[in-house]
Amino acid sequence: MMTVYAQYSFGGYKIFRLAENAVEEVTGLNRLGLPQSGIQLFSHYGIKFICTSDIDGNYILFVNDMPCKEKDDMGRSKTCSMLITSKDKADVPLMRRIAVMIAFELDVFESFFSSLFSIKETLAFNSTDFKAFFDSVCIDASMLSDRLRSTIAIKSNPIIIYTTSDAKTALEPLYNRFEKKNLRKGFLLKWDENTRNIKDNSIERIGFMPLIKKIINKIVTIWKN
Amino acid sequence: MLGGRRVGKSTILAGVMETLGNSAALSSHFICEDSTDYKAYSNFSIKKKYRALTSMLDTQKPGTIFMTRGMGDSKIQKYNISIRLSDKPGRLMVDFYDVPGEFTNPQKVEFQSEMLPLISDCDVFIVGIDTPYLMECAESVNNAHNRITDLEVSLQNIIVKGKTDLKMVMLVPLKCEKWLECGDIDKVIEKVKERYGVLLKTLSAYPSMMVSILPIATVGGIRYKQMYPAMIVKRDGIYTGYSCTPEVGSEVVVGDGGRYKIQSPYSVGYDPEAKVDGVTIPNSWYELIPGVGYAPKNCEQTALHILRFLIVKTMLKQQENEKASDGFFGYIRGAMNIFLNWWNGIDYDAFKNLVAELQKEGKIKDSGDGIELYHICNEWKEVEL
Repeated sequence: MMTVYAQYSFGGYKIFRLAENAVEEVTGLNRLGLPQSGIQLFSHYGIKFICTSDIDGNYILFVNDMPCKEKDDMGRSKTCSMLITSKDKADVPLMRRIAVMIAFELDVFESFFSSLFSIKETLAFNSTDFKAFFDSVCIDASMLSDRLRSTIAIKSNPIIIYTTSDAKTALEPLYNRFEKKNLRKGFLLKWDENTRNIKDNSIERIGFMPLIKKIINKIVTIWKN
Repeated sequence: MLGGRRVGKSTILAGVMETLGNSAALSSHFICEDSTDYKAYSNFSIKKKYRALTSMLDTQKPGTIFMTRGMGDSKIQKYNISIRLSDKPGRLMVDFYDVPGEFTNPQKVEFQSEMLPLISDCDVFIVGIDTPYLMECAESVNNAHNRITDLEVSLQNIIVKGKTDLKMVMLVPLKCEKWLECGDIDKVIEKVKERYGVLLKTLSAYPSMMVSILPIATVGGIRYKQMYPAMIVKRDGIYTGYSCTPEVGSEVVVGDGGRYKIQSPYSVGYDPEAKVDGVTIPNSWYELIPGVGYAPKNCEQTALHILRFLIVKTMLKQQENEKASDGFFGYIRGAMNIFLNWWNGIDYDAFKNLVAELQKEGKIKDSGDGIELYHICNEWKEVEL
């Protein structure tokens, strides 16, 4: 069974489990099934989107730092983040489809998801609209007509969109909760905050060459000094 | 950097960078650079935060009251700051972790998995204190807003790995303009000692621990005016993001200082978000101090105290290494240190000489303006600067 969590600011940023007609706060004493990898993802910047499995066998779909309409005096938006998780392998194909759909239209999903929250006397979440989105992914076959999307949806490699200047900086902190080898095999895409879209040709390689280049650069700097 | 939500933790660092870079007395010695990867944080740099704060000096009018409603961060931010001597190559890299106020709460899921490892890794802990709440609010409100009980629990997890593994905790009362202006800063320090008494006592009992109190004024020309219950403007019953004062007649003052008449579809209600652990927190409102403008006070002291601490810690480590440098492994360790210093291009002796000089000239303050070295550990006394 899939469980949905969100991080949202209501008297400070908190993590909530979103169920039908109920928004429950996750606490240290009552984790409400939130996996350890989820806490890590909710607590750091660097990863914009990730769809993969963690070392504890949870399948994870996470979208980070989505701007909401409300802004502060500095022009900075309130943000929210979303995590869908499941231990059931049967959920993986659907989660993968949802992931592809979100990843390729991240900005559209951001405004949709953030609009589902409202504050009246307490925090409310529009679970009806969210469920309708899920259902639409189940029946919408058109997304698979796109070759790139269908390939990514069928394959099992992680899909990762990062915001940092290089992928390594974003991935390194994840290695204690996600298998390093697996993450490195992923589709790595770079997020451009200015255009609020995935950068073209942003698939980056991590390996020996960048490391050697880095060492050469360092030696050149020292030599110049 | 620890402390409650929206107490101004990020502005401590912004103030440090601004004053180190611009103060005539210090900018000739230091070059302070920010190499943080802001692409990770939606490009919202520390300079932008500071500019937004100081811009109020230009946008606000004397005689009006205003408040800021910063969103606060939802995640841990890591700032990479380097301090370089202006006449030497090599940078001293310092990583600052700005932690959301909520994460300090041991009841939160983030505390166990994210905060504890961070606390055991860090050398310096800067605790931001929202002074208006410390001085003007009931104990329960101040305790909740400044997260005092949470800090008492959190900071018990500092791990001192050995005699030379010095740690430093700095309590930094912020927004102190009002009390500095009227010569009442000693009252702030008294209150810090009273309200943070348990924390101060616990920390002082630690081996190899330095504890200091360092009040600062980050802007200078803005002072605390008054607390008001946290109200917010509603439209058709839904809360907008606009904070305001309680209604007088049908008129309110909103955060930017503007006065508005409330009429349908708008109304005013208590801000349901203005709660910390079940305690209702009021909003602090501010005003301009006429004729002062941008005049930060003692912001650079935070950086100078950290720099001095890091130099003393390095010297202690070096002394320990020298003592243990007999034998093959000692030789290897010594060689590694020399190589690492060369690789990083850091001339520790030059840093040490400069810190000693600044201390002699009284530019590193250990007293005055409320600054106090509350607890000095024995190891610190062994080092001569």
